[in-house]
Amino acid sequence: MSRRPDHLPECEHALDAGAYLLSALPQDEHERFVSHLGTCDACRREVQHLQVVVDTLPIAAPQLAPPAELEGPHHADRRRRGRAAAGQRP
Amino acid sequence: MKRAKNMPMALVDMADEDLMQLVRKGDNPAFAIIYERHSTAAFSLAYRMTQNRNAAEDVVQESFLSLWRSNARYDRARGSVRTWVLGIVHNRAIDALRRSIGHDKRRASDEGLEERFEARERTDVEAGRREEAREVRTALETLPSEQCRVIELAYFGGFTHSEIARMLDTPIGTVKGRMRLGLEKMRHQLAGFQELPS
Repeated sequence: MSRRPDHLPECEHALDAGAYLLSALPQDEHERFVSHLGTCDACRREVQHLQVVVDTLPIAAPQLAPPAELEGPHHADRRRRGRAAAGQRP
Repeated sequence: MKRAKNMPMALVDMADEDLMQLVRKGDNPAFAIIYERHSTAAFSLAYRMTQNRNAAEDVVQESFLSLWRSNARYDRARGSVRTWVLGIVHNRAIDALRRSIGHDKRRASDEGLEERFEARERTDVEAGRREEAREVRTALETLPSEQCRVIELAYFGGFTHSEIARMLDTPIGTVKGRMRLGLEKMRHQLAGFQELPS
């Protein structure tokens, strides 16, 4: 459902939802908020509502090709298997 | 989409979500495709956060290694594979930033990397993603500057609300309020925005 940007949250803790989603809560507050989410529908709704925006933020980063020498773990696996097949030590 | 060398046609044509079922069983070629599809976005996010090429490479390596070794516990109910992968990268980068001594030290170094390593658009999907990225950047940059600043410092800088409050000499409650309001406004601006398929 759409709502106005200045919509006021139903729970006072809902103010923490943005900081929680942006990973900006210190560890202790993060754990308290996660625990609170288990009991508060309003905060769960708030998190769900804003999560979709936070999920888009990574693509705001300028897109850069990874360096050619950067390999995924599957390359190392393949090399290990190749060495094993050739009877070489890892 | 450009096909990676030596990759079976059937795998290349599969959706990420289906590939993840194979990755769960330790299927190396399926994982290679997931890596090929998402390593540019992963590296870009890691570099934007760490501002350092070596640190970004470490973050990307650790992220993909962790999801390879953990048998990739991907849950499709929690969003796309891309969102999931980038969430892992974000968490790893935050850990790296918070381990580093003094956030400002990492700001040094790799200026100009963008020009040297800018990703090329190779496919329609990549061109679509570039357009998507432009929309998100516009939504972020057109926020009131104080809202844009706190979101960038938190999400890309890895700073906590109390660190941001000290940096900006602003009460913590105000910082939290700006984060929430900024995200809410972005949500309105991005209404109708749809994540593209891989």
